Amino acid sequence: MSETQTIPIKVPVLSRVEGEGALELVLRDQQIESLKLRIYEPPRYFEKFLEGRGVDQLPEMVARICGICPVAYQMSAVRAVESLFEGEVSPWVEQMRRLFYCGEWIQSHALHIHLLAAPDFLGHEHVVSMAGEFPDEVRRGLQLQGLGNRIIALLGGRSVHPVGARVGGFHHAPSQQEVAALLEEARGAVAESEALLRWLATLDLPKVKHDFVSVALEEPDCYPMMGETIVSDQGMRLPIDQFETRFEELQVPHSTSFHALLDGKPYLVGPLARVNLHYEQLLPSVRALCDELGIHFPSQNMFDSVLARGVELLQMVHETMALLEQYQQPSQSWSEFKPKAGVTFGATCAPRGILWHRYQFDAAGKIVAARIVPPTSQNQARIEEDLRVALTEFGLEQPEEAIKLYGEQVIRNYDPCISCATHFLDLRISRK
Amino acid sequence: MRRAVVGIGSPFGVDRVGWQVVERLTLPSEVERLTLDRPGLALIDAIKGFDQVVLVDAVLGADQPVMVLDRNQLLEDASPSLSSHAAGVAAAIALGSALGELPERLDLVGISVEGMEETVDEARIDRAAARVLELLQ
Repeated sequence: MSETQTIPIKVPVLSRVEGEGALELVLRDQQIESLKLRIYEPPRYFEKFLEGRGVDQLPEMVARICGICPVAYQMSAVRAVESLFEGEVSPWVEQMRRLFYCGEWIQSHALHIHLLAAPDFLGHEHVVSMAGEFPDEVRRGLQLQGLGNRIIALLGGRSVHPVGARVGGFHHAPSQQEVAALLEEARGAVAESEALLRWLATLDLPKVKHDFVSVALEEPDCYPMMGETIVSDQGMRLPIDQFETRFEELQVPHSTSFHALLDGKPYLVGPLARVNLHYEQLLPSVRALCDELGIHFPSQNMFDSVLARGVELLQMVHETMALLEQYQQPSQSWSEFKPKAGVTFGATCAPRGILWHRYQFDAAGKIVAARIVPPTSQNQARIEEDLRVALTEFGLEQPEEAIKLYGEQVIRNYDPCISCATHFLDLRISRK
Repeated sequence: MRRAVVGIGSPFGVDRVGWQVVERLTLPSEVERLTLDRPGLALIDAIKGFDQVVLVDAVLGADQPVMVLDRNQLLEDASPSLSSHAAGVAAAIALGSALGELPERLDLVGISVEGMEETVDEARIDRAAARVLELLQ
């Protein structure tokens, strides 16, 4: 009779992720018996906080959900309101929203690449030790992150929890002088972000190939940031107001964050899913550099996520430059919207993937109910599925420390934002 | 010699106290005065190029109402294994040091607070301001 051996492996605090989570893995006879990505960060109640509030408070409140992607929350929210209320957004506002969002992608991707992901592939425990060996690369990363923050501050008033966005547009239009200063910086950043992609292409990334479904928004005639249709590489085309017909959120006992399934199965959202689905929408110059560097999409290797972030960052720096070059200060930076009762939807591409909102409003324009589905909730089931396959391929006979590190690396490919994912509370009260 | 006093904080509650200290200082004309809103790692860039910087910030869990930490003490406290949501002053100092971009002389004047709702009395703000001026002597 063979001897049974059960080995529990715990990573009590995941490092280099956004927020607080843990991984619990139980191995029996070198098979995975159970695997749990534990999200223990407390629920944050935002959907309940929003009830009874007006749209004047909505952008600032949802911005507080995340310190890294507040623009995404604001854009999904205001677009939901505007698709129900009566009014019209000007072309200037549409352009500036894209610029605002470029800033968020640039800062978020620069941060993730340098602080969270790159140390994994360069044999460093963290960016501080990596900075000793790669100081110029780390400086470049901080510079690009700074550019992203300055773009957000240009329109949002500040980069952390910006306050400039509102239903109908922005409270304030930047001056030509402010824009000119940022344009100079953006021009310089093109070469820096090209150099970044060249550097990323030299990383020795693990070569794996897994089955997963890529899901992203689609935006006509451009690389998607905001859109009305959700698409997948399985041929799905779904209007955002039909999200709940195919996507299901469910609670699991080990997580304060929901899991999400598409037609009952895990799926991927985020940079790799976007590039997989919309590579042809990238600028020709970005695709040409990818060709030159041997970077190919679509990819079923989650470790290529770091390349996808580098590609998107370069795209956004180019777009930033173009938007700033054609900037004209308008006489009016927002337009009026008249409240209307009903249910409405908004979805945009947060740096980590689709951020979907649904609101119910009363006739006075107050929020009756809110539902927010962030990207990390959507990726959670996929992360657990990935870990099962990836750790098995990696070798469950490997030393515990090696399994822990590889597991963390797999999780970091998704850049999970745990703070975003714990916004919901399923409140059950028992009264006796 | 380039010198600066840098208030770190946010517009919210007692987190403003670093700004309040910096705003009330009467500084020598050549000393720059900065107030930064939750700079994170951008602190590295903000203090780069100065020979001396005094940071002023609210601190939790201090054992004195106003405390001073020098560069070495700050580096001892810096935690490099960071999440980007938690990339605060300590992480910025650790990374700034690794990049060789910290000012030669760097101190932090910390005003002890216990929670966001607390009101810091004027005497403590004055005391912190006096410590800043001593460090600039």
